[in-house]
Amino acid sequence: MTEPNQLHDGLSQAAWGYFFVTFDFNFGTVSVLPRFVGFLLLLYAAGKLSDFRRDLKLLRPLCMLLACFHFGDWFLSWGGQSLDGMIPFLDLVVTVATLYFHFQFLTDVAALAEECQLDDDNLAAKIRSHRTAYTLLVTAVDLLYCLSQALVWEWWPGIIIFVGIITCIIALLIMADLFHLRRLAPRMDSEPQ
Amino acid sequence: MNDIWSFLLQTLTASGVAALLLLLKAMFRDKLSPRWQFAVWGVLGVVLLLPAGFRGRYVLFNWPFYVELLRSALTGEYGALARVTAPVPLPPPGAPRTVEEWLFVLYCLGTAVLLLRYLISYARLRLALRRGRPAEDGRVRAVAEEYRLPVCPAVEVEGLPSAFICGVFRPVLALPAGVATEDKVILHELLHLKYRDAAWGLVICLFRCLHWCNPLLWYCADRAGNDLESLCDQRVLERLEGEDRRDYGRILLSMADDKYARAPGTSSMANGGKNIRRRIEAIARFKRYPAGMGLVSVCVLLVLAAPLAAGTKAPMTNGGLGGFDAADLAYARTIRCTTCAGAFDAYAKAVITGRFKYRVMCAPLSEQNALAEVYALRSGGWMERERDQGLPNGIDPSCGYQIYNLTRVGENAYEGLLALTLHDLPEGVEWDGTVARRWMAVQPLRAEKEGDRWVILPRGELTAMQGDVRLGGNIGLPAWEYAATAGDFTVRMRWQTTSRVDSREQVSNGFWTTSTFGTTPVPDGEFTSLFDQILLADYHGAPEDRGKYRSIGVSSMPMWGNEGRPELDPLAPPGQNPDAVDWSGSSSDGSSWAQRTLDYDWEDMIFLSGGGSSREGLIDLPAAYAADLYLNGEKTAELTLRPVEGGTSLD
Repeated sequence: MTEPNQLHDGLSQAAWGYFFVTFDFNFGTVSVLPRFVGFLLLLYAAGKLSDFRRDLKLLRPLCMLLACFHFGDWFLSWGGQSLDGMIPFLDLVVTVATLYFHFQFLTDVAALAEECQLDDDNLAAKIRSHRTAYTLLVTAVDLLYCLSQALVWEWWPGIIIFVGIITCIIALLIMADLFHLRRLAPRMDSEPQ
Repeated sequence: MNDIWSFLLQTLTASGVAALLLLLKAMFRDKLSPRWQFAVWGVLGVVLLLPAGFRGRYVLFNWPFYVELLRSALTGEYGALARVTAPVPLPPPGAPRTVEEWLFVLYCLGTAVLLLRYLISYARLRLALRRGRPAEDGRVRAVAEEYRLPVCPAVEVEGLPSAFICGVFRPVLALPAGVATEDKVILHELLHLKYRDAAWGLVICLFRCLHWCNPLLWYCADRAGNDLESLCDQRVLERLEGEDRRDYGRILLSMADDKYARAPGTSSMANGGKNIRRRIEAIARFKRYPAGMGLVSVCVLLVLAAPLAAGTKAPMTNGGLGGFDAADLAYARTIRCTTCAGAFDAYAKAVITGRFKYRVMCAPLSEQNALAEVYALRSGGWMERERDQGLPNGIDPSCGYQIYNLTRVGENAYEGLLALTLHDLPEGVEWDGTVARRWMAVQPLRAEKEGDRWVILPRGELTAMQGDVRLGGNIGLPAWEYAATAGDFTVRMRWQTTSRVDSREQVSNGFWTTSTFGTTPVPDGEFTSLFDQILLADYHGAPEDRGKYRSIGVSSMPMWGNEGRPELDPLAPPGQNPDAVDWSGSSSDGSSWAQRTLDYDWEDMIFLSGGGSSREGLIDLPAAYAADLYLNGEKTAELTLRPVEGGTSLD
């Protein structure tokens, strides 16, 4: 595979990976856009893009862990169960891994955009600011949830939903950034024999 | 910690967190900076400082349940619960008698011995430093000035393997006598001084003493100490460039064979060969972490610390252990009713469902042994015994329960009347449709706080009675009453409250969702209360004087605490119907008003107005009612209705 194609495919997988990670449509209790598919796509993306940005290789173990967890969750959802909340120890590992993974992945993608001169319309800076907002909001949702468990206040659900909606909007913007980035790294047709 | 079980609970809780942190540190070994690697031990510090099982919650694993299961299995004693009141050992209440009491004494002795050992080693070190010779501090000052670091007195001591900082409040830099200490080593120690790292060493030693018999926590203490040194290495490397960094690595390597003597309140660059190998690996990974990494490091710490500090509420079911009697019982005992409402709720649902474990949740410790015996006998369970005492079969669970007239009767005590609705009549009783609509089971209850849990003490038997279940009140059940007399009339206000924990559960059949009464207890629930009041007037004048009265009207308002009697608005027909002859109304603040025409055959008891309102929490009892009495359209008296001794019932 030529280098530009590898870059294009990596970015394409990353963008679609975020699509699967962000959107969650259920048929009954089973997700039709399983999150583990998103993490598998991000795993492939990290592999392809690591030729351009070595640090991405470090994220592959985390990505595998998250893919396995979400596969387990999806598998259990067929029986109407969820892995989420079943084992607090695992929940915490996954929460922390997810938070770090998104932050580092987007940091590396922004750096890659700069290094490969794909920085149209200051896209790298945009990705970084969306990454920061996303990290802060996910942290806020987690903290608010913990607070709501410890202290009774009727406004908690409303506040958590509000912050959650903003987080989803930011996740959509990140997805849009990645698709934009993919357009800036077009696929090269193979040269005729 | 005042017994071996509470120590076990505390140390196991910390061990679970330690295992999590070790896993996360392995995951992020090459991803997050030494600052994060050391700071994350703060999370373990917080967990070690918080009493395990605080507010009935557990951290990561349900240790309270496992410890309780072990405790009750080994001792056969149910009249106690493993409870951590403080994260440090407290002296046992009396001389040890049992094996577990002796074990706790052994643990306390171990803590004291280790503490003493550390104190002696620190005192000997300070003594050695006092005997040392004040060092020429020219080089120390030069290094401090070059890197803008604070300085402290320096002494040279014979036989020291390497330099170190000793002391937190009056720190001293100890240097080996007769050996020229490298500038980078001095830089390392001055950075320890600047960041007061010796204090962390002291904290780590204290935790070592408290958990001296937990090898996992000792390992974590070693790792934390080493991470502190790695962090200091990072700080040094951030101040050095090029060849100086490599020199620093070489110096560290040269210390790998040095002996490492741990002492509290000190920080030493040479901390043992194994640790130095880890630090050199960290140096090999060294890079200036980008500014943004600070953000994610803090976020990861917060996301970790918050749930570990807050803990997890134990679910009401112990899946996988059902049917194993001892486990069921131990599990129920560890679910604490943390609110008064939660205890009433658990008791009411124990009666409704007959489930033994719900009663165990809210039973006083003094009754737990007796309950365990009943459970072991399996003589039909707990509630069946109660029902055999004359209650008709079939409490209607769909109606839930109500606690009537809940009142605070002490610092941490409440009393109320539990009322449940029955399906059927008691045996041999004929249905009397003229009096009431439902048969009920009622029982007076008292809730008391026992340590950190609320318990229920029944104050009488569960008995069946005929009542009248209406929205917001039951005229068959007792109520408070307020009254005042003016002329031929006595104005009365009947006040009743009902309280319950919201137990609605949504049940879906795939097409639509319905709301039903959920029978699972809510041990940390809060009450939703409703007050219901009925305003009445009684005529006790002469029969021949009845004709004098064509109408009666009353407006009233509750008085709270010691406030004076308020001025009431004049009684007037509602604005939208100014020509009304009879009217009535009430407000959510408890005010009510009514006007009634007295026809030729009016009864001595005149119903004026009724109504109520719901609130979150409990509703206080009004001190009195202010009421204005109107006869034949004229205000004839300003009354203050005072509580009537014993209250009353309308029937």
